[in-house]
Amino acid sequence: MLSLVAALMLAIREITLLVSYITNNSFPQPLSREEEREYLDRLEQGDEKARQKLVEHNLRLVAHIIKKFDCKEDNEDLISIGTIGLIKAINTYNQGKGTRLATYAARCIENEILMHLRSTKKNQGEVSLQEPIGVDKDGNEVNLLDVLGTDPDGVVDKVEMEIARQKLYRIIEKLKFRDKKVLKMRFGIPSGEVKTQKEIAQQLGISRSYVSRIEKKVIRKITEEFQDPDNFPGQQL
Amino acid sequence: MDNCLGVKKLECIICGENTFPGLVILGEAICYSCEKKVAITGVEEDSYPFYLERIKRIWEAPLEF
Repeated sequence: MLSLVAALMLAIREITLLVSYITNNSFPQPLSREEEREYLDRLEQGDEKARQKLVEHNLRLVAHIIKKFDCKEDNEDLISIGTIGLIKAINTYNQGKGTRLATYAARCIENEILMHLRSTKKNQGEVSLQEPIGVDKDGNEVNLLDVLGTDPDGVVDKVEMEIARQKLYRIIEKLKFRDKKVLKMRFGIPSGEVKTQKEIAQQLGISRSYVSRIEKKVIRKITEEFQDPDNFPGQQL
Repeated sequence: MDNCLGVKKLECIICGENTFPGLVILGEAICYSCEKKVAITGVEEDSYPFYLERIKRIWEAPLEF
């Protein structure tokens, strides 16, 4: 309970710091209606620097909008998603419709974040191979992946387990190179040497949160493939 | 190298190519082709996490991620 409160406090502090940084420091100020129109006119005449101005002067919007979302999502992710929303706004804005770019961009940023949160929520309903399914006789937590990848005695009969194991390995072999690499390192396949997300991130030169996302995506993919009874009809014994 | 409009080639933060940028945000460049791809990629598409990760670079320096 204490750690939950501490995590919440940390998240609030991060957002507050981010917003205060952007509000108080050298981020470009929002454009006035006249300035915005001037840059939009320049952009219509092919001035690409005007486009840069229009994006940079609306970056504050991203920080202000993510403040409205009280969620567990990584702030770095949210701000990046908001920036993608802003890029989409710049690419689809139509001055002829009479709405200000800032108003339109705010809607696009908010929409991008909402779409992402909905998509994450939808995935939460799916079964994960890491889902705890009980405890063993020593009281250790057992998850679905433990059951599929380890000694089958006392779980299901040996033949069924062997089929399941072969099926799992065949699914893993079909994964994209990086997804396969992350999965094998994370779960120690076949060496048994399990690496942390941080270690994998360092080795592959990507961020820990990206490793986490790859891991979740791959497990979801494997679960889907595994549940498909027609996946390897030729392999059924 | 500059083109006829005086625009310099820069490394795109998404594809890593040294090319004429379509968009420059806080000094970080996104090439025209990648910008268009970002603009049409939905949150559920497989490539979205990749773009999300690369776009973070825009904020790395100012926010010290």
